[in-house]
Amino acid sequence: MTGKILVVCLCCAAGTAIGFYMMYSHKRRYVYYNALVAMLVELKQNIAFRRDSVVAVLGAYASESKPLKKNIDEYLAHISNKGGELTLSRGFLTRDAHADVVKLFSRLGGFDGDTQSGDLEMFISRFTVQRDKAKEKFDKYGALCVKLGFLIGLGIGILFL
Amino acid sequence: MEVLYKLIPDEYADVIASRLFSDKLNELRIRNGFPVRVCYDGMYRFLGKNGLCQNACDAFVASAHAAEDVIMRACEHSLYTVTDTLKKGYVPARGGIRIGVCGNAVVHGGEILTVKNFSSVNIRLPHQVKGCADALCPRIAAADGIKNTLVISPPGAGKTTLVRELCRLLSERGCNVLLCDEKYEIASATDGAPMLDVGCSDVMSGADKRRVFEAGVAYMRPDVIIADELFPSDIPAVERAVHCGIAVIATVHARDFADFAKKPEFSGVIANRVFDLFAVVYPPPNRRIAVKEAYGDG
Repeated sequence: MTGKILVVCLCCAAGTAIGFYMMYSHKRRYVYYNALVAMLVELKQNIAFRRDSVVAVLGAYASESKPLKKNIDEYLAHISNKGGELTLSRGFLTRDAHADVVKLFSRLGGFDGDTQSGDLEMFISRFTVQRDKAKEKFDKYGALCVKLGFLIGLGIGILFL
Repeated sequence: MEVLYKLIPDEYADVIASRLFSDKLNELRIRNGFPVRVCYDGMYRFLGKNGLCQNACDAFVASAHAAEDVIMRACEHSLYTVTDTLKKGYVPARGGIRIGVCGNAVVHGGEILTVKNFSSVNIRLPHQVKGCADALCPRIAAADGIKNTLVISPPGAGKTTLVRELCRLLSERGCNVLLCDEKYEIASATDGAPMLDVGCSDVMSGADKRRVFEAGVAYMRPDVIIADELFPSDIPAVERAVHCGIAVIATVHARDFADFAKKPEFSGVIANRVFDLFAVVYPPPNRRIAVKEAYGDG
């Protein structure tokens, strides 16, 4: 009897864990795009006023998203190396999203202030759409994944009985 | 020199670090697709893997985008931070390094918007030579106050080095020195701190001389304003400062006093007796400073 209860609990726990993982995968996408948009807004504001270098602004930027922080570090390392192609980790990004991010970083710093601001504005619009989509998915499916995971785990546990 | 090594390809940096004396290196000229040249100890020679060479065949040949690479590294990959200086033909880098830039000018309505397709750069290295103004400073800082002084010399003779020293020495004598470092060459301030020793001076970097003179006179209460490379358009601001009782030390490009006196755009400077002292810096190999009093022979 105890064994059966244990099996059910384990199945519930496994199901809930899978649910949490799925919720996390929705959340991390939203967090990434949110941090990316915030970074671009800060960069744009800086260009409009203080005109610090990209290295200074990105180096000081505290990103909430670890994958974005990794991309920033890869970009800064690329700048400090003499020559070579820019390569950024793709992580959980889709191929198209990753291409957009690489394009963004490739275009940083190559223009005068007004053109750079316009370019950043274009990327802010593009990534804001992605961010809003990710948020919508997270709001819709985030908690649902956990509940569903628990229920499926419970169901499987009961089936084992 | 660390700043220089970060700007140029590693192969050039390795040779310079291992085979040349940094205090003798004045310029590094990189032209896309052409041999690399340096001004070393006052003479131009090619730079090769074995150091200096007379023969262009033994020299490093710059790549097709070498000039652009130098500029992007100098501006930390942020061209928008140097748009204004690019229009004037240079890019300032850390450590007082000034990079002259050539390429295609983009012109609109008669004004240069920017420079693109960079073709060559001239990396000029600053040198702090403490003591080079020891003989001149007592003549400038007289008992009755600081004399308005114009330092005259051709390019590359050491005007900026001299002016840097004058800054330091005058501030050590207790004067309020306002330094107008328009091209970031004299103090080379980074994050608010001068990278080169200008003593206890107030440094305004990047702003044009007219604005610094006006704001400085009004708000900083300087005893002396020091500026580099005077242009005719700067003379009214200099005259205003002098009439306010503030001493001015500035530099101008000319071979010597006679050559300066011939320039019609500066005729007012001599006629109105703006400056009390003219110090002519002669370039190497016969480097010396000759001082001429405005009201007599010196």
